[in-house]
Amino acid sequence: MHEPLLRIENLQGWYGESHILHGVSLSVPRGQTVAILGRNGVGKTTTLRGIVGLLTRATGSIRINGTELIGMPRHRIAYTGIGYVPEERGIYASLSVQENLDLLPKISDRGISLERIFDLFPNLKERRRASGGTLSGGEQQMLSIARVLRAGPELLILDEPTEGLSPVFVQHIGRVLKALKEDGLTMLLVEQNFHFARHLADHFYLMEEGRVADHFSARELDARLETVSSLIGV
Amino acid sequence: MIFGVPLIALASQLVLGLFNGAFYALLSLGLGVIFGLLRVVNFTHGAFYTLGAFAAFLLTSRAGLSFWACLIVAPLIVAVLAAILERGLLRKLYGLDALYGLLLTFGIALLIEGVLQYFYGTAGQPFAVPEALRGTSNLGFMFLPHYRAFAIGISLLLCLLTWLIIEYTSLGAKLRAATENSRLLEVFGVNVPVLLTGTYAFGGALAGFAGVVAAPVFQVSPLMGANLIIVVFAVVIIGGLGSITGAIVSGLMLGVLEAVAKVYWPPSANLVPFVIMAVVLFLRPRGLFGKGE
Repeated sequence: MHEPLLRIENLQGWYGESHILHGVSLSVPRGQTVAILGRNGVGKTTTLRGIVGLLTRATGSIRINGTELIGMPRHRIAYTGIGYVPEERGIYASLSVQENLDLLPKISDRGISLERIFDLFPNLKERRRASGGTLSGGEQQMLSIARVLRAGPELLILDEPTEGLSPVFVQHIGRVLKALKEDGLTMLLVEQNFHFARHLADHFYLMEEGRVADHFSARELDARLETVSSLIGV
Repeated sequence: MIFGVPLIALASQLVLGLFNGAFYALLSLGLGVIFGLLRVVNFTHGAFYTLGAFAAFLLTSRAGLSFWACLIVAPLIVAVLAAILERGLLRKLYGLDALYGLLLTFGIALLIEGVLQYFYGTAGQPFAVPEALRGTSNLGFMFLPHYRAFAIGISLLLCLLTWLIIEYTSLGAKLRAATENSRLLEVFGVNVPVLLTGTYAFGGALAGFAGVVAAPVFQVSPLMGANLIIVVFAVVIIGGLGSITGAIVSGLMLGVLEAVAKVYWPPSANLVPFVIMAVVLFLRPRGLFGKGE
């Protein structure tokens, strides 16, 4: 068994004074897509934010390629190979689409060319001069994914990529992520849209009350469909 | 004659107004950029201006440097001091209420002024106008002092350069992004702490530069910055906190309006900035160029 690209062990996480994560352990094998499922407020987003250093305090271990992320200065974390697409998308409104695309420092030579970006997201090409603040929700999500791909991450972390999007955009983003997966990109995603996650992920983690309650592979999913459905309420 | 004032008098006052306005613009630009990124109301800004002037005074009188060399060296000295101040003290207050940064920078300004007063008293030190810029030109309708024309020109050039960097370079894009959401920018791999230090040092350097340019006209005195900085805060508020264009335009505008007030009703001139500030706050609380949130 190869060492997974990302391994989280016993992650405890705090926002201010509130203790949200109570010992999360999960791993993301190289080249695979892992989805974290669970109800609202169980700590899915907090887990992702813990990886990129956005919690007030975190203990335990988060290792990517063997490098420990806990305690690392926040601006160095990206250089371990992580690309982060936040839940709120994080588009800079005072920057143009093009400036948003050029904003991130290159973290490796895996970065995707502008041509390929515009190929994957034709909408962005049309709107490259528009200010980031004028984009629709779907366009913002595309830009948020596109700009991080340009930096060249090894692990793409996506927080609710389909939240609040129209079916057309959901399908489009699904197609793009599938293509990236076929290219060998490793992904960790949090997704409320179970059907979306089902078509993409190789492995699932089910979270409850700040810890992992269960995990299983895509093959095992059908057998557990009922428990999963009742737990996440789909 | 324009409204009972001879053209020559009015034109001279306008040049004087632009001259003062150029200082307002340089200082409020730095203050605005610092506030936008660091969320610190930098009361040390006036002291940076004073330090720039004193550095020029000492470099020319003790080290024999030319005025032209001082234009570069003095702002660099102020920038280094500002960087040390940001790294050593100011940094520890990020994330706390903005009041703490204000108090710290105010305290440091008093400290700098106090030290300078201890050594130099409150009397101004003379500083010669560089030889190449002495004299005036007769433009027909007025006499234009060369040094004032130079000061206005170079200050505006520096403001323009700063604006171009912020609006059109990738460094400028990072600065604007950090102003919006610096934590996320860090997650993307941008070294925001260095960006903050650099911005504070750059703002300080702009103020130091203004101090050097001011030295030959106003005397070099420990309180020169303290007298100016209150008006500059009014300029920042009129232009809109964090607006680059606002800082430049309202700086020049205020200088000119003050000058015009001086021609028509001299006692009102000192009040002009604050009356305008009050009116702007009343009608447009975010300032003339401020963006609504």
